[in-house]
Amino acid sequence: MAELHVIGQLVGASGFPQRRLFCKWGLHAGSAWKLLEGLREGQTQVDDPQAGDMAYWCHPIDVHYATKGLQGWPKLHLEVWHQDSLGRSELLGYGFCHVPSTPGCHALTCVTWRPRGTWGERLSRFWLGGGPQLLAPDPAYAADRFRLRTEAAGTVRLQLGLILRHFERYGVQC
Amino acid sequence: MAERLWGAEAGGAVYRSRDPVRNLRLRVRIQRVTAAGPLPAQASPPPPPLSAPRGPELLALAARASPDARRPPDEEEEAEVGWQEKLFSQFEVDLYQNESACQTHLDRQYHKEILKLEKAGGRKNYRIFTYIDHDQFTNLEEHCQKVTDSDHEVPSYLAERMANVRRRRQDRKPIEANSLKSKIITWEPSEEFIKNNHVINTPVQTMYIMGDLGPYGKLGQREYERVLCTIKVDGNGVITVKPDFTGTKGAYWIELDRQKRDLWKYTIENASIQVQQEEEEREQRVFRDLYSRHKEYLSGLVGSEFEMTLPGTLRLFVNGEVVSAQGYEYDNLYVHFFLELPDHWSSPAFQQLSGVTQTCATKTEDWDNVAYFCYPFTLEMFFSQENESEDCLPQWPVLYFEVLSLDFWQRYRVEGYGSLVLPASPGLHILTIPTWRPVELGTVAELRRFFIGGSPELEDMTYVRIPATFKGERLSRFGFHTETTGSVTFRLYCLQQSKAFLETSASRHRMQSVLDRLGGFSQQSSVYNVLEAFQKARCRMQEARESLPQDLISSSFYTVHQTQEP
Amino acid sequence: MTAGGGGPGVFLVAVNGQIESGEFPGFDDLYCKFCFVYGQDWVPTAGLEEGISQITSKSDVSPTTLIWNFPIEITFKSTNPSGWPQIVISVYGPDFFGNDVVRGYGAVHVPFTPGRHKRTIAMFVPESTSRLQKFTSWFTGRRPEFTDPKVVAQGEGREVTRVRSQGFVTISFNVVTKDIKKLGYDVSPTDMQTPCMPITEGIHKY
Repeated sequence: MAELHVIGQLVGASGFPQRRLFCKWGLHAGSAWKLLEGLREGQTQVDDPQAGDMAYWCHPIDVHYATKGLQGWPKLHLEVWHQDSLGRSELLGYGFCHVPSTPGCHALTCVTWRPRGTWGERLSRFWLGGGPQLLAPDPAYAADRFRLRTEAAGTVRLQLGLILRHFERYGVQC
Repeated sequence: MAERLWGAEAGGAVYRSRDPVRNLRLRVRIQRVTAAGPLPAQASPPPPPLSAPRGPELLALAARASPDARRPPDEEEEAEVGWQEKLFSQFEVDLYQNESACQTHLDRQYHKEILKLEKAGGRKNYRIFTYIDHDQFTNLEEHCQKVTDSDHEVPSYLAERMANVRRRRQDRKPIEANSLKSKIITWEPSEEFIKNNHVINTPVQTMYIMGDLGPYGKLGQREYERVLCTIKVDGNGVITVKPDFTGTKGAYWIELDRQKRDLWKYTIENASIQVQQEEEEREQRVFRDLYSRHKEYLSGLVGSEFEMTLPGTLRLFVNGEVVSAQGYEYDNLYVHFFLELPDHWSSPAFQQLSGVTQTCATKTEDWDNVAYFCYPFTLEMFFSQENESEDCLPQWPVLYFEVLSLDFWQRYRVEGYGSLVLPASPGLHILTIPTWRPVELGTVAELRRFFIGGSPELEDMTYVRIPATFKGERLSRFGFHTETTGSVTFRLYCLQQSKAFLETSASRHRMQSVLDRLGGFSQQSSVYNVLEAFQKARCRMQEARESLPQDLISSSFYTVHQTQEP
Repeated sequence: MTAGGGGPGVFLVAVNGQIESGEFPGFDDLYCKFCFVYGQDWVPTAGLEEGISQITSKSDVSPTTLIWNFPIEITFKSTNPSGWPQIVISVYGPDFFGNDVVRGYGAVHVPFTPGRHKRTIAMFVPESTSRLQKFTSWFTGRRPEFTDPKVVAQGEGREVTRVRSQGFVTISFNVVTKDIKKLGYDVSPTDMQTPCMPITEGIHKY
């Protein structure tokens, strides 16, 4: 079996209408993959940046996978949320991205989107916040995305380091 | 601060040890260099190595035995000092002998120890003595250390706080892991908390090896006390020795008084009992065992099976994302794409070869309207060529895509067509592909597009490149009007798997040298083809590499070459 | 005496570097403290795993940047990349009333590709949700702090914290690794085969 280490950080997010942001994240991998060490999901702190529109989380990721195949390469699933001053949370964006397959350090940007509601919902969102959310927010959902109406949200910045082991032993070039 | 160290390196050294620190022993040897003689050369020979069992007593006796030599008897002294071993100075003996001078518990203990020493026949050390962690000197020294040559240097509040913490180190308790979890944030930190947390509070023990460098017969005067060596050991097993052991370097020098040229030289050696060879070997064996067991444990967790390709096939595995589309005229965009596999390529039955993203409303970013899709897809395909003597080059799979926009009544218009050849090199490729769309000339058509929706479409999307049904020799698009539209960004992670890669390095080297030798004038077309394929692949790779972005999203352009253009 | 040396199945990571500078708009006279957080398979074999810098102030030539130039030097030994060491930095300085308060916490993984790396990390402080508490903490000079700064290097239990990011620290690293490739780990693209189009000949060997 080959091994994969994903070591890095969820750095932060920018380009959202609100600034006080946090992120729920999860890693999803296929059935050939086995998580040996590390946390597969988590939630960052809520950051209210003093200046600028980028919220910083500095949330560490350190996972260790073993795999017996290439299928189901891990994907990262991100949800960016806003927390208002009363402690209420509102979803601002979904993002899905593949974990890179090349060893080394990667500075990634993951763009996000959120479901777009009807006119009425959009109006109430403008004044009151809230809005539609996905029923099953997992990357497998990608298959029937065509049902979705969405709008572009902000971007999430990631710093991911990849350490691969023994892939070349099975003739895999990454 | 007159004293100066003349050693080659006066700085300290840091060591780490897993051993209990009580095993640490140092041998210090101090010697007066002629009080009136010329300045000795730097590279004076170090003192001859002393055999191990010779303790301070012997040496002291030897020194005492020759009182009528040219030198005063106490000119040279050697002492072996253990960690936190107290050697009293003449000053301390004089002070603590008197019980009335003893105030603290420590003083009284010293008093008792000195009395005991007297009974046992007096102390063995004369000039070399120590201040250990409990001594007042340790605190004072740390507090009053100057770091610049300013006459008015005031210790910063940080220095004061550090000194404070050092004094408190004994009653520091390690923080429990459990309490950490329950209380991540201290909402109103107390003075005490701030004092401890804003500085380093790993417990440190300090010890000073001192020299009483007073004139002969006038021992016990504080102004002649000098620090020979400072040793600090912290809770992590870090041992700081300042100055470092005089191993290969020369001895250290201390000049006491410029007028009188009172020069001392001293050496510090690590005299800790060395580990027996068998013990060391045993330790190494234990470690090796531990590591290999750990390795076995890990590989047990990992297992050994891995899915392989059939011999003679190449597996191309692409983790891709439709990241974004930018620069289109209308809002509410979606991307429809499909993969075309040329001859000799196949894909597993469950593999979806096409996809449709969600419909995304754009937002404005840097004067451009962008739609974020972030749509992940995975493509898996196999390449196998049965017939070696075939003339044509292996063709690479092509991803065709179209960008469409939805209008208010859920009707779509075509916004652009594009295509990309899947990268032939493994690794990350970020490709931003510009698109075009067919247009009908005239305002009426544009109005129709705006009001009614619908616009000319390609019947066959492979027309974007060379139509699959095309058989001729020249491809002509004459008479076909198009318009430049926006671009779509893809992020592709390509993986290639083949048994042929297993013996790569050796075989590739061989192959490259063969190609080099053959050059361009080979008669055999198959070899020529291979060469050409190689060149092409390299070009494409270079393009891809050049287009690898500085900034991940923007500024990367990958142009699709239409090689058969007239 | 020193606990150095490797063995089978062990790799070494030597980190040299410095905490170069900080940018904290509106704050001055700051000092920083660093320590390392690493997994249970990791052991430092040489160097210092914690340190505290001098107090530095802004000057006419650098009105925004605080330079510490504080060295980091440590070597680790491990059997497993999991739990890769992170450097944790905390910055402190006096507030308006002269109370020593925290100005930021931050953490970053030590880079694992050999060579020189520069990392700029965001620094944040925990913040109270209630306005009243915010005011009293400003007034009394008792800002909320992390009970142990090392918590910023952990992924667990962060959902309850609210923070405010208010500055950056730039760290440079020089990383040297030993035996990591020998253990079969690929840490940089150059470790893998150089990209090359598979040539049909090569495939036909089988």
